[in-house]
Amino acid sequence: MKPDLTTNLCGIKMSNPVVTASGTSGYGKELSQFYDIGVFGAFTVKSMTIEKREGNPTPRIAECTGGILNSIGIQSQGVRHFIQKDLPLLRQYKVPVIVSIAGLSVDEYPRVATILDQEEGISAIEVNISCPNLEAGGCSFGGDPEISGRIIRAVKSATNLPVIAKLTPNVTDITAIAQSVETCGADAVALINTLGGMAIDIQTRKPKLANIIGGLSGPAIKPIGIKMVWQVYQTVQIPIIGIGGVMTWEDAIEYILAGATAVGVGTALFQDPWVVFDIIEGISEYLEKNGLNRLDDIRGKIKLPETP
Amino acid sequence: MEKIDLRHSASVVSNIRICTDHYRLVLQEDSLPNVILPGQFVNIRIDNREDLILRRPFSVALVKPEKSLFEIVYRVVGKGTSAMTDLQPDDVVDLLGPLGKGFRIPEKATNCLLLGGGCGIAPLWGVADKLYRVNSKMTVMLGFKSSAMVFGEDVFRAYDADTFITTDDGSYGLKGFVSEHLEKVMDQQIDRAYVCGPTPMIRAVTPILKQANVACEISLEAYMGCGFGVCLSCVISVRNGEAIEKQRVCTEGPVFRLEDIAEDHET
Repeated sequence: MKPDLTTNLCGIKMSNPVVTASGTSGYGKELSQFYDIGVFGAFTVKSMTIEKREGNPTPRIAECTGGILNSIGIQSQGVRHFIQKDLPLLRQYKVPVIVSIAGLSVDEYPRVATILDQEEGISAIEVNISCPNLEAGGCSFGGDPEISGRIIRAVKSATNLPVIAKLTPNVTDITAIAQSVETCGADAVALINTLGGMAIDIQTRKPKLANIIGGLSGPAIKPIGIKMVWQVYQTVQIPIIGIGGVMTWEDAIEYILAGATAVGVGTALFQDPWVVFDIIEGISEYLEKNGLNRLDDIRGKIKLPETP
Repeated sequence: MEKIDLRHSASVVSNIRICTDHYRLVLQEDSLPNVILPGQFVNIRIDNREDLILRRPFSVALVKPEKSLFEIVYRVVGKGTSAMTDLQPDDVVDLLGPLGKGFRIPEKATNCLLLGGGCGIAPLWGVADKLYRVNSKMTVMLGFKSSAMVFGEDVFRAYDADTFITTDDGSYGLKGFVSEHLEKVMDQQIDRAYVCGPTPMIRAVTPILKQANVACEISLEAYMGCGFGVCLSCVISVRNGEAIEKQRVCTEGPVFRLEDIAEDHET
């Protein structure tokens, strides 16, 4: 019998634990040309603000060893455009939709959440308090436990949907942020967003990104993500979406062992949009080979060295 | 809705250096040559290099569907293209394609101008091939730094194109930039222009083309993440009626009509 990959993430019933990482799959239109996006456990859309945003100047992307730097800067048509143009397509697929929201001010988050709250076909709201590419907001909110908590509390008041806090790794102690958002009502946490980074072309002496700095993603950041998921798993009771450098099913298993309930895939989709099939199949085979039936059998079950 | 599978495994037929830093990679694959159009591109994965995350996008050059062949020309600029120089006959290349929107080729004979520089010359081979088949008249101008960089001239001549070469240092053909000699050939009755080359060349030729009022399509280069429209790395500003909006070079492009391009590519 095939192992059971069904996953319950703060009430979202998912067929498997693999979700898209926000900002790496748009609003589903492109990937749905290739395959039924219902293959994902849940589909997290790109972050949106209230109003339309142009995003940052180009170049917005630069490859580094084992990773990529980006400074897209939340190019967005705004939440109303999403509801009118993008959400109808997503509703056609039998996939739980997680809508990521961003804000330039603390007040903007609950305003976006209020607009989304009455819409059909949304399973949860992910609160992006960790974008390194926003001129205001973004990381500066997510780096402060008090402000992070305040935003989550405001969004919780604005919606009855489950609320997921997307956390930044660009902090001294991620567990303090995780604890704060849990206290303020977050139903889950997603971590990690990209790490702040920079690269310089030594021939031209110019930064490789027009925005000068950006966010690092890809396999280079996976060990940091694993560490932070493990730390947060020991700190909070709410479920975790583990994100950061998942390229293969082995990476996904590693996150689940560290304590993740679900696993986000992002940069890997740029390289191979079909990789999600291999990841899901690989997770299933791993469980099967180890004589296990459910993801609960491995979630957080790392074998720590015995203390003397 | 019919799903599209862009994944292809192509085998290397040849991978030959054609000038100082450009290589011509000929690939064999059954389906892609039947569907890919001039100006569209493929996104190549660099095999066995876990440090290189992104695929590398290359516009298709000549395509020979009857032999299941297509080719690209690449310039060695970094780790990815350096690794590609190691490709040997029978090696397998993992690629996604066809991607993007190509050049519009009229079905009737026209009088066309083709302007290319560097790697941008290769996609124009495919344009020349299509134009030749409808008996179009072609004038081609290609710009290079010096004689050591010159390639591709013979391909255009084989399609009976009037072909002019410029080199910055005058070591081959006309001395100077394409833009400096363009007006001489523009005197002719040209009604369409196809442009593919480095940004400085595009900037220099666009005012002349605008003044001549010819229908012009330009293939643009951009740093890409995904190549299929999700990452929004490669956007440019494009006119859409009165409005100016961001469009993706990988999806709405890489070929744009000259009059639609806003932003600094323009002048």
